[in-house]
Order: sequence, then C-alpha cells, then structure tokens
Amino acid sequence: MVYGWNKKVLKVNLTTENIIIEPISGEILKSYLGGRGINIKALYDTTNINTDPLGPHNPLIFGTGPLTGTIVPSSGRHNVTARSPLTGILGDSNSGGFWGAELKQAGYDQIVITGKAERPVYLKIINEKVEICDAEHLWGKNVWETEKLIKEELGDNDVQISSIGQAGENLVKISGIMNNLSRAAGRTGMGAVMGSKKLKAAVVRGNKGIGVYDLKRFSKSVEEMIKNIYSSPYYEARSSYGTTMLVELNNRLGNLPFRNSQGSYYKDAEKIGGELLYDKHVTKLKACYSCPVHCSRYYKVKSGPFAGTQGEGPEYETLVSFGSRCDNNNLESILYINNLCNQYGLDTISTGNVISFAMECYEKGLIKREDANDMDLSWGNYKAIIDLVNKIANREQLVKIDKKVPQQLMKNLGFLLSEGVKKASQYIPNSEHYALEVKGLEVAAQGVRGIKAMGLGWAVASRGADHLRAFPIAESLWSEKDAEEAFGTKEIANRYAYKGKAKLVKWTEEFSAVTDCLEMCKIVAMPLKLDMSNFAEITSALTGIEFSETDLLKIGERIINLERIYNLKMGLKSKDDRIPDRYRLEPVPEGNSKGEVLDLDKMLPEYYQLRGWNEKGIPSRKKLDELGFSKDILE
Amino acid sequence: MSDKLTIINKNNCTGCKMCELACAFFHDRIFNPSAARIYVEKTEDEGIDIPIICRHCDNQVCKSVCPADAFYLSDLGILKIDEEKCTGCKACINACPFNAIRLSPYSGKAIKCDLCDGSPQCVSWCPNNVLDYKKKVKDSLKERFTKF
Repeated sequence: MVYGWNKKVLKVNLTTENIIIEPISGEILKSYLGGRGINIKALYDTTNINTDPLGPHNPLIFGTGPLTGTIVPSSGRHNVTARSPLTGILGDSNSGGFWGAELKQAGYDQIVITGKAERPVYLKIINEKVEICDAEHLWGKNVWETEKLIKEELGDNDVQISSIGQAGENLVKISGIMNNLSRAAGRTGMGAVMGSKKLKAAVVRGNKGIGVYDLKRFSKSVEEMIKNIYSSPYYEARSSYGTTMLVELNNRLGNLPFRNSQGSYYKDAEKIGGELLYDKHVTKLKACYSCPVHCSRYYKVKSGPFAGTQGEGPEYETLVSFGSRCDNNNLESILYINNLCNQYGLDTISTGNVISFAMECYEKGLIKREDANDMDLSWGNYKAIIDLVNKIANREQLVKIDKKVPQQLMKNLGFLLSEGVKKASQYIPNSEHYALEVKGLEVAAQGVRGIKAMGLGWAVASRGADHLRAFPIAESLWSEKDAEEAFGTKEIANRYAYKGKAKLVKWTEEFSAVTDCLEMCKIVAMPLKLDMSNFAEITSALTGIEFSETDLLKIGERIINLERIYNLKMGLKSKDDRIPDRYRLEPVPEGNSKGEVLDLDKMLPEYYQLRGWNEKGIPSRKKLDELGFSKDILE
Repeated sequence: MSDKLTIINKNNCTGCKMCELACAFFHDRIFNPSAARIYVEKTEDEGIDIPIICRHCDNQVCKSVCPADAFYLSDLGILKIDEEKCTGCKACINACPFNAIRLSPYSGKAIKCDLCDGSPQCVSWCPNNVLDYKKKVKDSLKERFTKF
C-alpha cells in the first residue's frame, strides 16, 4: 500500500512513442514535496535557455501532491508546468476539479510529456495501461465536445480528462488546459505547449487507492481541519458565493479594476457581482474533489439574449476580466463569454486583459474602427468582446503581417492579441503604457495601488503578474492584533502601508508554495484558517515521514529560490521585478483607494534582503548552501 | 429487516465525493472511490450530481437472483453479502434496478452498502446534508404528509 505518494512518474515521449514508469526518489519528495515543487525540479533539470517553449524538448509536466486523492479537505488539485511560450520563463498553472485525484488513483504522482506527435493524439492512462491513441477526430473540437466524445468512446463517464480546445491547438499564447469542462490550468500558456505536441488530451482512470500511515493521527488531523474550515467567519460566504463575493468587496475597498485599470471603482459592480449572480442564475453549488467548501456554482440563464447559457463558475477574476475591466455591466454576457473561453480553452484572466487593452487603444485612437474590420471596440460593447474572443481563439489572421504598414495589422487584431498583451503592444505604436503585464504575463484583477503587498507579490511572482503566488490577503482581512502577533507589526493589516509588506509577501509566497505542492486549495487554506501546523501534521500522518512547520516553510523557500534560479537562467533580470507604470504613476481617480499609487521601491530592496538575494535579485551563496543547492547552480 | 436506510436529497449534492472516500476508507482502510459502496453519478454539462446507494428494498431482487446464496440478513437486520460465498458472477449487479452493487477492485466480489452496521460513514461525512439516515420510505412519507 502507498502512503500519500505513489512515488512514481510516468514519462511519455510522443516522438518515439516511448512510455516508461520511473520511481521518484524519496530525497526529491522530501525536498520538493509534490505538485509545483516536483514540477519545477523536473523542469529545471531538463530545460535550458535554448529550449523552444513550443518545441519537442519542452516537457509538459502534470504534478499532484501527497494529499491529493485522499479525504483531506480541498486537496484534489494539480499543477501543470513547462517553459512558458507566453513569457519565456517558468510556466506553471494550478487547477482544481477531479483530474489530479484520478491520476493519483491510477498510481502516479507526476506525468512528464516530451516530444511531438506526428498526428493529433491523446494519452490514455488506465492504471498501468498507458496508450497513445489517435485523436484526429477530436482535433478542431472544443473542450466540451472533446470530453463528451472521449467519454462516449471509452464508455466510461468517470474518466477524467485534461484537454485543450481550439486555442491550444492554434498555439494561442494565452491558452490553458481544461478539465471537468470548466476548471482551468489557465495561466502562462500551457495550452499552447500541449497544442505544439499535437496532444489533444490526457485521460486518466484508476482504482489503486491511497493508504494512510498513521490512522489515528490522520483522522484527528482531518477532523481538526474540517472544524477549522467550518468555524471560520468566512465559511458561509465562501461556500455560497465563492470568489464572486470579492466583486462587491473589492469595489467597496476601491480595488476593482475599471476600464483596463484606469480606475479602481465601478459604479455598476452590483450588476456583475456575486450576489446578483447567485440570486438570478445559480442553480446549484459545486465542489471540487473532497472539498466541503463547494465555492463553485452551476448557473443557467433563463431569459434574454443569452437564454440557455449553462455552465460552471465564473470566478471573481472572470467577472472582472470581462466585466468592470471592459466596463461591461451585462452579467449574462459574461456568463456566455465564460463558457466560450472554457470551450476554446482560453485563460479568462489574460483574455479579458488583452481585450480591455484593445478597448483602451481604441479609446486613445491607437486602433481605429476603419482599420480593425469595422469593429466597434467602445467600452462595454459585449458583442465586440465576444467577437474578439472568437478571433483570439482562432488566431484570426486576415492579411500578411507587414510591420511597415501598421494599419494593416489591425485587421489581424485576433492574431495580435492571441500573442499576449506584451507582444501585441509591440505591434501597436505608443500602446506600451496600456499593456498591463509583468514579465509578459497579463495582470490579474486586483487594484494593487490600494493593496501594497499584492503589488509587491505581482512584481516578484515567479510566473509573472499573479495574485496567487503570494496571495497576501492578510493586509485586507487580518486584524491589527493578529498582524502584530504574527509579524511583529500591526501595519501588516493596513493595506495602504508599505511597512512590513516585504515580510508578509515572503511568508505568503512560502505558504502558497507549500499549498501548491500539497495541492491544497489556497482559496480555502488562506482565508479559512488552515495553517502550516495543520499541513505538517496531516502530511506526516499520511506519509509516515515527519514534517515540521519549519520543514514545510523551508521547502516553500527552496521552491521559490529554485524558480528564481530557473528564471535567471532563462534571462530574467532584476529590472523585470516591476509593476506597470499605470500603477506607479497614475493615482487612483476615485473610490476608497483614491489618490493611491504603488511605489515598489519602498518594498523591493527589503524583500531582496529578506530573501537573501543581492541587489540584482540573485540568491547569495549562503542562501543556496542553506537550502541545499549545489555550489555551481548559478553557473 | 432494518427499518432505516440512507435517504438522499440530491438537490443539495455538490459532487465532492467525500461520501465515496469515507465509505471506501471505512471498509477497506484505503482512499479509493472505486471501492466505495456509494457512488456519485455526475452529469457535469447539466450540473447534476446524484449519489447512488442501496435502497434496502423490501423486495430484494439481488438476493433472489444470487446463485451462490451469498446474501444474508445480519443480526441488525441489514442485508449483506457473504464474501466467502460470493463468486463475483455479477447476477446481482445486473438485477439491481438502482445500480447500487459493484465489484470490489480488491476482492473481485460484489459489494454494496451495509449501512456501516448502523452508523453510515457517508452520512456523517457529507458536508451538505445530502444524506440522512432515516426510517424507511413509508414512514417518512407519512412524516412528510403530516408536515404538509
């Protein structure tokens, strides 16, 4: 019987069709734990600066954690990792649903896929039986059609499927890998990596089971975690509205992106908010594997132009991306667009971001209607948003690209935006200021001028602008007393303050790295009172290997540093730890963060120092020694 | 016969499968939904989750078709399957109108809900009060009509 880990990796080369199962060493599992940790280790060991993100040598890595597949609450997630075609640095994305748990049941912790198939294929994993199957008939189908066809073909409604839609097939740089129809490993273009390998889907089914090393200790620990979750003051709201409640909350705080983050307050927030969605369209609450929080929802639009639209979600990020960010107050249209993105396999965060960028370019006269195939990109025009989503997913290219005639380029707007906002802005003269990205990854839906730690989190996140690498929500949610106890300064709980935020981000980055390795949901863990002592106890009880809180945080720190070293090797410089000028230079015009800007210089040097990195953001020899890295790792 | 069974209020089910995990763990000390005696049937495109579990029928067609006479009533009046006698022939699986019997991936023998001998684990682990351990339909219907 296996305790926690299966200690096995499945390696598939699509060029040679070679399939091998290898052990994962105890040393690696102890040092990197699982999921995001074992994935970066595998990526680091097998790629270099010359690895083409869309070439056969870039590995596409799926990883699960030791808790995945057990009854530990909210632990059924998985990470997908590769060198990102969007950013050129670490690509890594995390998804919920049921796929990760099934991979564990099939007897693996990780899959590493290399090579490139000649014709479209899908990978079928049923316990030890692994096959590369023909997917010619699935190529060109969307994610929902693909899942249905595969389930019919295999005659099994319970197979779990990670697949790409047309966006991934077309190598759209902001495409993700979808599972359970609407759960996404959305960020950093992992869909394009899968598409480049001509791999339509990874299908898993297993019945091996996962054992527990210390039953008594394990049961006590699970009970405690569940008790903590239920007793959290946020449980009620989280388990009804999920992340959508943040629309109204962030608007009240003055942190809701409006019109490509020109503003941080949206007068129509209630029209796209969680409460209205719940009252009007939600049909039932929905959970991921072994999760008592059920923060997702099924919805169905009953009337109006979008009647019949039925799906799962959307999350806060999606509501903002296609709502306030584009000044679109039509909730039903957002639900429709959410489905569209899930079907195409597009990252809703990045897609909403590139569209709001295009809308601002239109507002500023940089994109003209007559140049852009008569598209009216006025703020709030949801028909144009839908049109653009289609064009992006299909990577629509109507004319030959010729830099000398920039107006001609606008006819290819779908193609330009499919490259991500950074690349798109390079095609559109004078638009750099409106391209909101860090390290090439489109920013998420936080108004970071009014939440300073979140801003720092974006700037230093190892996959580019992202709220979930640090997720420092303590600055908005904690009491001053709790902040003082945990960090020695009550200013942690003051979202406008800079003091202590470097410390907060360092700690939350390590906390988040641990949750991503255990494949725990940090949306559950952070606000709902699960802490490092819970994680240490449950992991020890399950695996039989003793982990203390300090051990886990050290693993978190090791992962942050290895990701940093990887990014440095991919050409990252300290100047890339930045935030877009909009947040630095333009004060928030209205709302409860009015007048705020984000001054990174007040936090970044301290962050480097706390990390043991020099002023160039390079880990010191001492830090490398402490984390057990070899001397020559930086060479 | 047991006068109680596990009642399902499917509209509350969020599809988390904690019932399956708790069931499998209680019986086999392993987390393996395929070895569970309860099964959540998911129709994700329509947003439907339905837990499937033995109804402890009065007319026990599973028992009557079993060629090995493996079904028996326990001391507590719960219909169970004798693993020694079961040959894994699937006759009961085919006969059950509720699809509530399956083969164990470990023993290859038929398995079904045994109400955990009176304290069903699925009921205690369900986060959403989907499952309830109650008196049989006739009584609970009466109960409902009284309320009505």
